Amino acid sequence: MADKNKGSMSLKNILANNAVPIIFIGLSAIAIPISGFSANYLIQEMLTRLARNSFLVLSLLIPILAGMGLNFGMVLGAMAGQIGLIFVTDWAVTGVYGMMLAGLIGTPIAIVLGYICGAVLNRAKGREMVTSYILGFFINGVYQLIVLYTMGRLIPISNPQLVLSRGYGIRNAINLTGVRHVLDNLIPLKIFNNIDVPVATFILIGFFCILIIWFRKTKLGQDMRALGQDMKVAEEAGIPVERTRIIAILISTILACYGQIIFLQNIGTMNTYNSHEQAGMFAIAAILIGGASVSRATITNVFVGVVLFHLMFVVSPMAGKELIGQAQLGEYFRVFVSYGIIALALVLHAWRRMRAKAEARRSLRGEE
Amino acid sequence: MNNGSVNKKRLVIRLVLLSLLIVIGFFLYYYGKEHEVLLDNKTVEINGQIYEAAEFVRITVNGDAAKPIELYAKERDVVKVNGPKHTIKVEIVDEDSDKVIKTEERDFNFGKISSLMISIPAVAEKAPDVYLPLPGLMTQAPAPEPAPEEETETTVDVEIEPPAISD
Repeated sequence: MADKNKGSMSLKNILANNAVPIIFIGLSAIAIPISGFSANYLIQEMLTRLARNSFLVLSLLIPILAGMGLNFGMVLGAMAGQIGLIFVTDWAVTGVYGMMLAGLIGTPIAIVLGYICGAVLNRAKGREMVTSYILGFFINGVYQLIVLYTMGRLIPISNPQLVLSRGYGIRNAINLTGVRHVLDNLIPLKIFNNIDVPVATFILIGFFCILIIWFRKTKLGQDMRALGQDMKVAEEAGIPVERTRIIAILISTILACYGQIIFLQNIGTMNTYNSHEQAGMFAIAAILIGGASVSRATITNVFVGVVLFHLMFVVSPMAGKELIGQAQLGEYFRVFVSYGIIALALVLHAWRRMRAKAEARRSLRGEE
Repeated sequence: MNNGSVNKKRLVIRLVLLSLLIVIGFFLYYYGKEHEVLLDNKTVEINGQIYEAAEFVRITVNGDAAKPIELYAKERDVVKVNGPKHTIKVEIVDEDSDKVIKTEERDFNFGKISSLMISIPAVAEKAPDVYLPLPGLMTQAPAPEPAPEEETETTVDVEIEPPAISD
């Protein structure tokens, strides 16, 4: 037992478990001085991006806890949030009221979509990630059908600035003037050299983190953890496996809906047909860069990941420009890194699983 | 039997929650609704009464003295306000001496209406009806108070381009 502990604490294991964040810290350490950005600028950017993205990334934790891997289906929740925002923009409901109403409209849509997603994933146990990824594409088609053909025709949309010139369908870009920065500026605070801190957004994120910590200790949270460790054992223990899995996806989808609303209120503009697509990929890349894996993720992974991922976002185009004279190259590098990191995390996950199986076989044979 | 009563109880709880969400939704809509208010300083006739445009008028919405709206005769401006209840203060000012000749303050409840037009001369004269029909392109629900059939604008100035519903 002592040897096993010693083994798990070895430098090799620490490096293997935290390879991704270490690589990114190294890259950032090189890129920051090259980019020439001031500390003030970087701190401001990181605070803004932490507030903007953390909620979306946190929504990935519950499915990982339940052993369902990275919920690529979170885009479903993002779509629900966007539908809520389309309606509040049409009705000209502004401020925090508008944001809350968007959340309220998005919630039932997210519940329905989350339930569908959960039910589908229950029929694809062990292949949740690829299934939810493809399901995202399918629901995206349905979303586009609704937004492009029924809004303004079957679903009344009166604001001419939202509707395409043909008379139905929503425009490609929507200006969210009514809800722009309403949460971020709810409690204004400036620190050091005029650095804006979106206090209200951080309070909401903090509250949600406490909620996750509490949730993990509840009966449902423990059931999800048991599921995440071994589904068959959990089923033998009397845990309603399928119901618990659906609840996990449902919670994730609803939170992604709220996350997308928080994200878009910070951005201030909604890309009707693309915003949600980016949400899933970038949130997943961020949590993986933070050191999470397909089967294990913590709140710390979320914040470390958001900071490191977005540090690369900010720094790499300028570093590319300074190094090669082309900002575009830095941007290509960042895109390559964000998608590459997902592939790397999946490969690492497969490699760890194989290693664990090999170790289990060795220990069964009585080998060291 | 027991199972049935549990299901019934669950259904009741869900219906109550759903009703509560709908009520909250209406509350958020009502108090978060943005209204586009056109402030019109033209000579108008409302209910057979003619209200002459003021030479120079200063308008303060919701006591925001930092952002007064100043209008000359035959001018129109737009202001966006959130929530149902608002106060509009109209000050008719002598432009040369900057002396306030007349002040009138009025409370409004815009309810659920998105866009409406208010006649500033009518507000200054304490008219019972101060709402004007919206310019042609701005399709909108009727104003809160019924306008008379023969209501027409007496001025035939160059039509000011109506602002967008939201930007």
